[in-house]
Amino acid sequence: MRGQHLFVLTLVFLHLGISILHNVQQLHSTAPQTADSRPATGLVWLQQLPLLSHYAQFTGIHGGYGFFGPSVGSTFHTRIQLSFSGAEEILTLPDPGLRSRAGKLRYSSFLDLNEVFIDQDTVRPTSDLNLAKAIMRSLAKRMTDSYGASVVDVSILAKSPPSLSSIRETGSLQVRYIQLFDQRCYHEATQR
Amino acid sequence: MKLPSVSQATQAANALRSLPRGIGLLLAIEMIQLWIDLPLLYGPNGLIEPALLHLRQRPIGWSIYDLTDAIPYLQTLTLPTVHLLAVLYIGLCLALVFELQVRLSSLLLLFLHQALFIADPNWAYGVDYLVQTGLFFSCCFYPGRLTSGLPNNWAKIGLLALQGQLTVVYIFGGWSKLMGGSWHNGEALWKAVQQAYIGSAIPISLNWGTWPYLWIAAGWAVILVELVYPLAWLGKHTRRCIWIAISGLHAGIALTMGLYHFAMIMIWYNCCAWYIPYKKLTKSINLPFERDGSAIASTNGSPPPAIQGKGVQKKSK
Repeated sequence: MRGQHLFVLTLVFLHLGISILHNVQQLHSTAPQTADSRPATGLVWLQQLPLLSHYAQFTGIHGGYGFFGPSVGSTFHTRIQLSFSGAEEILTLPDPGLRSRAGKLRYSSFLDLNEVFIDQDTVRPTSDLNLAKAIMRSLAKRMTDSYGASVVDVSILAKSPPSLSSIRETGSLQVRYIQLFDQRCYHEATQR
Repeated sequence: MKLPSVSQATQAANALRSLPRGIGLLLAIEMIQLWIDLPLLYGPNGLIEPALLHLRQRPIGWSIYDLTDAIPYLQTLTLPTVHLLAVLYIGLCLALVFELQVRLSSLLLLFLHQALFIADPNWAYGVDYLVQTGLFFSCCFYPGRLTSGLPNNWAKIGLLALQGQLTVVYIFGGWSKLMGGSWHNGEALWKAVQQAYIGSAIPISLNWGTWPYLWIAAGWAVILVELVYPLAWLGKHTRRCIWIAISGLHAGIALTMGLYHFAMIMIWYNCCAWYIPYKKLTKSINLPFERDGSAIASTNGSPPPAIQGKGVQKKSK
C-alpha cells in the first residue's frame, strides 16, 4: 500500500512538473526578446513529445496561466451594419445575434483572433492573417443570409480606453474604437 | 457535548468529494445559459462556416467535428447532434452534483469538455483549461460517497495535488504580471477593468482614471496576492489570509469584469483546497441539563471527572 502511495505521489509531482514546464515556456515566449536571448528549444522539444503534449492537453495544463500578463491586450468588437434594398435605414448590431451572456463572452474571446490585424507586418504568419480574413468574410456572408439584407458591412474594432498617463496629461476620458478590418458582402435579399 | 474531531484525511476526503459537485453545478449552469446560442456557435448554419472553424483546431485531441466524422451515419455536425451532446453534458454535470458514478461521469465529461472547448478552442477561454484540470482531479481522486472515517492517504495525496496545482496557477499568474511593466504603473489593471466583458455588476467609470495611485496600488496588490499564494502552506493564519485575499480577488474580477463563471470556478477550487479540508467539524453542543457542567459526563472520549479524580470527595481518615 505504501508503495502504491509513493507511486501516485510521484505521478502527482510529474503532473505538476509538466504544468510548470508549460508555464516556464510560456513565460519565455512572452518575455521581451533581446539580441542575447536564446530560443527555449529544449523546453519546446519536451513539450512536443507526443505523450506529454497529449497528457497536457487532456488535463488542461498545456495553456500556461499568465492570464492578463505580462500586459493586457486589446478587446475586439464587431459592428454589423445591415442595409435592405428599398429602405434607407441602416440597422447596426453590436454582435451577430447571440442572446446569452455566456455566448457573448465566448464570442468575445473568439474575436481575439483579430489580434493578427494589429501587428500584421511583424511576427504573425501570413496564414493566420488570411484565416482571420476568411473567418470575417464568412461571418459577413452568414449575416447576409440570416437577416436577408442586401448589403452587410462587418467591421472589426479594437477598443482603446484612455491610458492613465493620457488622462493625466490631457484629461481626456474618451474611449476610442480603432477599425482594423472591414468586410462588405452583397446578397440578393430573399422574401420571407 | 463534544463530538470527536475528524481526522485530517477525512477532511481531505470531504474536500475532494465537494470538488466535483461544485464543478458539476457551475458547468451545468454555464451550459444551460449557452443552450440558446448553441445553434450559432456549433450548428451547421452557425456564425462561421464550420470548415473554417475546423482549421483553427489543435493538432491533437478530438473535437466534436472529429467525433461526428467518426460516427458513420452522422458525418456532419447537425443541430440535433449538438443539442444531444449538450443534454449529455448537462446530464453528466448533474451526475456529479448528485454523486452518481462520479469517476465515470468526470471522465466522460472530461472527454466532452475537451471536444467542445479544448481541442476546438474557437469558443473557449481561460476557464475551460482550469475546468479540464478540475475534472481530471475529480476523476482521479474522488474518494467515494461514504465517509469511512478511516485514514485515507489517497485523499491526502489528492488534496496535495489540488493545492499544488493552484499554487502553480497563481505563482505563474503573478510572475507573468511581474514581468510586465504595465502592471507596475497600474496601466494594465486599468485597461483590464475598462475592457470589461458583458454584464459586469460594478462597471468602473472612466473618472476613476484620475486616481492613478489607486491603480498602481491595486496592480501591485494583485501581483502580491498571487506571488505569496504558497504561504497558504505555512499554517492556519496565512492559509486563512491567502484564502480570503484570493477569494476577494476573484469576487472583484467577477463584479468589475463580468467573468462570473471563471471567478466562481476559482473560488470553489480555493474553497476545496484551503477551506473545506481545514473547516472545524468538531462542534460543542450544550444540552439543557449540562449547563452546570457537572451533571453529565463528557462523551468525547475523555474519562468522566470522577475517574479523572476531579470532584471526588476524599474520605477523611
